[in-house]
Amino acid sequence: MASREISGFVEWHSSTGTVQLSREVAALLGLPPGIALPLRTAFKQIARPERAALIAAIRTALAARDPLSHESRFAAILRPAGSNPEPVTLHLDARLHFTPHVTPARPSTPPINTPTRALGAISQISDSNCAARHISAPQTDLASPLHTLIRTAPVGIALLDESLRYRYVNDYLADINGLSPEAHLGRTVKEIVPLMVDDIASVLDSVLRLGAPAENVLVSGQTAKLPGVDRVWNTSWFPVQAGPDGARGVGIVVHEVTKQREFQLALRRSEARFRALTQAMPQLVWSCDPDINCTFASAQWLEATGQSDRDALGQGWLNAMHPEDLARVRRAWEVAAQSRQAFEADLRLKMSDGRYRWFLSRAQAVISGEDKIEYWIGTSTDIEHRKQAEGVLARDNEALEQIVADRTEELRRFHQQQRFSERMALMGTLAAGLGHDLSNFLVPLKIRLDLLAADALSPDSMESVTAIRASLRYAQRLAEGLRLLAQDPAGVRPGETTKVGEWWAHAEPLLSAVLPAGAALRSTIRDPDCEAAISNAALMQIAFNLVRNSGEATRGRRDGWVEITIWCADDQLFIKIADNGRGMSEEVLARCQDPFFTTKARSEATGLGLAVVYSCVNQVAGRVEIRSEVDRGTEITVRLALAPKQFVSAGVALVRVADQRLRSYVAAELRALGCEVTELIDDARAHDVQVVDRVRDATQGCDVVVIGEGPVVGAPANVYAIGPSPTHRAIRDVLKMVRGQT
Amino acid sequence: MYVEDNREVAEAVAAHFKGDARFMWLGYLTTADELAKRAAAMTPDVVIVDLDLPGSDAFGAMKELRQQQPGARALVFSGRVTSSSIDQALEAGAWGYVYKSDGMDALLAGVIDVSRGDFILSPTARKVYSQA
Repeated sequence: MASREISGFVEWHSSTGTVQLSREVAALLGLPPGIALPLRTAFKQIARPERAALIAAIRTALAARDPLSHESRFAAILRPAGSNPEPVTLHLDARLHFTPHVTPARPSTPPINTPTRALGAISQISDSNCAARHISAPQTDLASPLHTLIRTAPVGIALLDESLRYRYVNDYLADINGLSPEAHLGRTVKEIVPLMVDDIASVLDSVLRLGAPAENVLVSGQTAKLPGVDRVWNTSWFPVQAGPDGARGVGIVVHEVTKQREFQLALRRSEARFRALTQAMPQLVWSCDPDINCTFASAQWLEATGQSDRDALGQGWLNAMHPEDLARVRRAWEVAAQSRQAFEADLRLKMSDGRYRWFLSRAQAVISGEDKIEYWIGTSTDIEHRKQAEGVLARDNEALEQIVADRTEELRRFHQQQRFSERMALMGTLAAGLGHDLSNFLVPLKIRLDLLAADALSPDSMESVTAIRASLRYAQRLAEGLRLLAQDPAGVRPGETTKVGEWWAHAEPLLSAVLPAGAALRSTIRDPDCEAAISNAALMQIAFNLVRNSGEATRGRRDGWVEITIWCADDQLFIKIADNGRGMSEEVLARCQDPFFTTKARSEATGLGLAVVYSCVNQVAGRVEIRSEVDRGTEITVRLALAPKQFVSAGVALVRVADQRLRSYVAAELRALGCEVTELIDDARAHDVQVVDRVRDATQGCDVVVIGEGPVVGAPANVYAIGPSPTHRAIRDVLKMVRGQT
Repeated sequence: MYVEDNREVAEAVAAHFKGDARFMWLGYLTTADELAKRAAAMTPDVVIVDLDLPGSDAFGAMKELRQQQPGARALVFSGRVTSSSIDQALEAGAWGYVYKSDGMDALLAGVIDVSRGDFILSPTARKVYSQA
């Protein structure tokens, strides 16, 4: 196949959409040169696929607007026009270079990078004729338009011969190297760019030896133009067949990408910083698109959730969120997106161990120039401990509020009980006053009645007096009962005893009065002479509380009764109070002695009745036994110790005290103990042994001797000295010792 | 002689004593304000004293009586009986203590005993005092 030289240029006008062909190209295509032709017409000689590719390449190049990216290689099968009737099909390996020419800026036309026309060069580099001309011809021999085009192109273009000496260099590349184009000619690559020759040696060798082009080879280094400045170029190297003699060379196209490279490196550094930052942060970092599709998840996210990068991307990251939180999170995101505010939400993330932890997630939207959210970038901070603390705090607060509520209720109950107690105390005071006043009122009545009875009355009148006396006695017992009830059992002196018969005489009227209507008080006092080791007041309180409780238990019954039985056995006093009332369940029975426990309304009872009974009984080491059956009744038995017998046998006593009143008092007390007492008026002082001896002589045969002087040294054990001016308390102490002796 | 603010009681007691030939009734006071002064004027053997009186304190009045009129012996006749009240009465110089509810017989016996120079506690008073 004959080889033909085809080289030329085309000029495209954006305003008309037409191209103008150089003479060489026009001749090749059988068209007149210098005429503006539509693209399709201009290239109609090119087979359709190649033509479409060529037109697309031109449009793409123009649309890209970057003169440095307009290289486009294409192959075309041409049918040259002319006199030859036989169409000739040529395989072209051509390179198209476009240089957009920008319309000079005008005030009304802001874009400066809009190409209005473009120049393209077509060279048939596979055609040895063309290459040979470039290789063999001097730099100035090039056809003027093409030369101008190549020389002024904003890409570096050079042609090397087989010995790698420059045969052609355009201005752009010469400027890169810091030398004139002429200074390059005949000199080797090593001489021009010695610092870069090592990098490109293998490329050159490959192109020359194998004939294989090398495209997009990045070459970096310094040139004489800008020493000390590292620059980067995108280079393409391709073999050139130099004419019939087979001379070969290397074509070079150089495009400086230093700035792009710097930008790329800066971008990489920025990305590296971003990744380092995300890895250094304790938070989980992520980004997502406006539809909440994850576009990035930091290593922390992946490590924490156990998700792989693939798992997390898209909607996958939502699988790590707690299902209960998803709807709330989506709503928060929608609100944030609409308001262009930051997104913030507490949410739970499933950890790699399967457990959920609380995270505070925050995200900021990156807004485009068109006010559209391009993406979200956010972090998730572990707040599990804070949440737990909040939970503990909330539980503590709840517990505290419960305690406050309980205490408030307790206080309310206490106030209620206090009011009730105050009312009961008032009633006690009233009962005491009533008992006292009633007693005072009865005294003159009784005296008058005695006076009346002393007169000679008719039998009828005497019968009336007797009846009135009975009523008076009852009223007197009631008054005494009130007085005893009003006394504080805890306030009585220890050691006080109570004779059952006397006590019952006072207690019965009061206990009868405390029963509800319809309830009867039955009593059996088997041993009225028994004397219990408990005070009258305490015994009254015990009986009153128990009878009152029993009476209340029978309330509502027509045949209600309360029975009190008292007897002595085994040195103990037994008081049994039984009723046929409601009885108590086991639960009530278990709690009935607790203070403030009551089955009645607070306005009716304090819940202290049985507790007071226990207190009084325990104070004298007694016992309380309760038996109860629901709807059958209750039986409570109180056991009390009997009072110790104070006086065993009567003795002989001598009282020798000067003060008549005191002597009489002591003598009276000793007589009350059963002693046969002799009173002596003796003023002798008893400070010495002689006196003691005289005393002893005088008191021979006496069991007890009480003298007014003392202390007596060496006196017998039965001699007690009360001193010259004793207080009654001192006398009482002496009498206690006497009682203990007797 | 009797000190009692309750006139009904005082009159009833007076009626009793007046009707008993063993006694000479001198009268009664409703307060103890001038007890010593009146006793000095009337020289009673026994002065019956109620403890709960308006005006002067009964214990103070008995002390004053004892100092100024040792021959007039005080006998308490009260509706109140506690070991404390008996202690106070004896310290104040009382010769006896009769609880009102023990009745007129106890009072009459007490007056007779005290007038003879004997100390007396009515049954209830003795019981309360002995257990103290």
